[in-house]
Amino acid sequence: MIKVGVFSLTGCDGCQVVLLEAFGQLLALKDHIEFTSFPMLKDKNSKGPFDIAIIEGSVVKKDEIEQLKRIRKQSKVVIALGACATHGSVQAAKNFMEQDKVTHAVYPPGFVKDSTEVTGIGAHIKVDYEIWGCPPDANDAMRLIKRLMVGQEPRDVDDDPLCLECRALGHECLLQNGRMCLGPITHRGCNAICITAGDACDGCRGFLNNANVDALIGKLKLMGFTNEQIKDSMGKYMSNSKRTRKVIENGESN
Amino acid sequence: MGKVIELDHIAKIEGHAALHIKVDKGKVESVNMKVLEGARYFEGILLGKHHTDVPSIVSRICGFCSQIHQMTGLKAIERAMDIEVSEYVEDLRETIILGSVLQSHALHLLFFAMPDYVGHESAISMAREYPDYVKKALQLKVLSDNVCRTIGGRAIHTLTPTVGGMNKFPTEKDAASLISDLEASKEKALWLAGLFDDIDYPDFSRDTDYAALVGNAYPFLRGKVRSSFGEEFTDFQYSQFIEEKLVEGETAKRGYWKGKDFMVGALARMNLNQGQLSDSARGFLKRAKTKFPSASPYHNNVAQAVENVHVIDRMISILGKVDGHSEPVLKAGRMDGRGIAITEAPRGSLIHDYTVNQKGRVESARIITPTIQNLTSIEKDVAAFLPSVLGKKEAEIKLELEKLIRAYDPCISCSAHFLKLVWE
Repeated sequence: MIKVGVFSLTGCDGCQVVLLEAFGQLLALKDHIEFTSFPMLKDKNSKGPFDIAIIEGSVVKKDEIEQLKRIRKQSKVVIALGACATHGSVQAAKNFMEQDKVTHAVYPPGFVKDSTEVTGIGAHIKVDYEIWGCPPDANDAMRLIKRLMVGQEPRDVDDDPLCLECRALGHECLLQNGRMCLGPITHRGCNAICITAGDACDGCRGFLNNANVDALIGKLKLMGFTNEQIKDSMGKYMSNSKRTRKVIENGESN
Repeated sequence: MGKVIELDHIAKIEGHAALHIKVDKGKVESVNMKVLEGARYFEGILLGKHHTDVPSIVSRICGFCSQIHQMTGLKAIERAMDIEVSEYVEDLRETIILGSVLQSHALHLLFFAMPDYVGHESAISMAREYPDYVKKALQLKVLSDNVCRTIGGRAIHTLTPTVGGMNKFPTEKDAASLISDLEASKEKALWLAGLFDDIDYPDFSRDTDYAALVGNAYPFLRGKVRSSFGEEFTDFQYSQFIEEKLVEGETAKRGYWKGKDFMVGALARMNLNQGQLSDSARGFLKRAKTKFPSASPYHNNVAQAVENVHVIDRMISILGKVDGHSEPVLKAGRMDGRGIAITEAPRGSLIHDYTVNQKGRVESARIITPTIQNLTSIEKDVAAFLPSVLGKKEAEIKLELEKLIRAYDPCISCSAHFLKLVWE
């Protein structure tokens, strides 16, 4: 029996909702997997040890760092589930805004004392596997859990762009049609779900290691997009990326 | 000697919250519900964002009710930019919201509420004793995911709604397939409502006020807000009625109706709108043991289960109008302005208020969520209910309190984007 813990830091809890999309599959594995901790779903929750810890949400306050370290110590394998846990996601935008302006929009000065830089969990503990996306895909999560369950080393993640999947689906290229899209620099694996639904890619699955970000930015500028518009898209889920930071720091002049 | 009861983490709710209670000589001295979720600063993060990005950003406030945050943001932004979408677009958006109500209610009823009443600690352990029940209830959740996926492009954080219209429109075939799934599932929704109606809830009620949208139909996206004592307001008047207070030493913002606590959510909607339910939902209520209006917070469970029946009927009727055509996304009528939208989230009234500047970027944002409005009511219920269970063992007291809190279906992520309590 594999002992699994599901933990949540700060976020929308949507990653846990995604796991529940696969609840039927999880029930079918009940003789092999035991959720020994899953506070969103269970009254009785163990403090460990765990064979697998699945952690969603990002770090936004100091005591979450301690919580992460406790979980890491108790777990053989740690999985970061979803864009908050892997990169910080939407709430990390705060890191690169004027702090007083952001906090005072919500609280009076000096009100919140324990806030910290918003990060993914990998900034504080070793993460063994990442499941990308906001929201992540339930099938990605199930595939990884099943592989770990049977002791099979999960395949190395490829470093291919979303465009591969998008073109294979026969979608027209948004960039060629004058629309902003981060497909060329973003990890594939979502089956181009946003483009299929008529939306564009804002990079929620993270940027490729070998991404030619400068080339895309050059192309977008030629198309007439401003630095601010590029920042809107790159900074939506990936404001913590060094590449996005570069765009943010470049400011309006470029 | 005073006694302190602490639930340091309330299980089976959305997000992280704790409850601190002080009792002295059998008298309840204080009840404090603490939100442990970290501060998320959504209203701050939205500053300077382009108005077209607002709906997908606010969707991330909550994974349990992403769709209604997105849609409320969308409506408020469209009002600010003077955009009026067609009735067809409104219908499709409403279908996503109805699907999300079913999704959220099914999650709450199956995973959070039901285990309490059958002596199980979770739906997982319950599935061993009642596999058929769990399987059947899960089918409603799967159905709701399919509705959101088919019309919205994804089960949560839907993709098709966009400022000015829809990115993509469903085909006739999409609609026909959903209609047949919905028709086949109605019996399951009625069955689940029957189960929740049959439960012997604790004999507890507390006289309080209820508030919900009211309008020409059972309301989720249109209408004005009415309270059970007869006061009413429309969008632009909300700040004269709903106020948020920061409480010294408590560090929580709480919502009040002109200084008084009140309750929002399925129970409030049912108390104010039951005449607008679909025929089969009303037919169910005629036979049901539970009678509305009700002042028992536990009946929020029944109200949610009855709403499931209603939303299925309503989705069938809207989807019947789908003819497969698509419409262009409308352009903004002006670049700057203020827009306010009030909707019914699964957990109650939700307010989004934005001011957009001439660059089309957000100048100010204010969001008031249902759980913020319910927090004081939850605490008052706990204080009123506690004496009836004080004689029990501590573990039993805690379970009874959790059942009461869970009946409200509180949504802590939603609260934490601007409600934050410092750890003690």
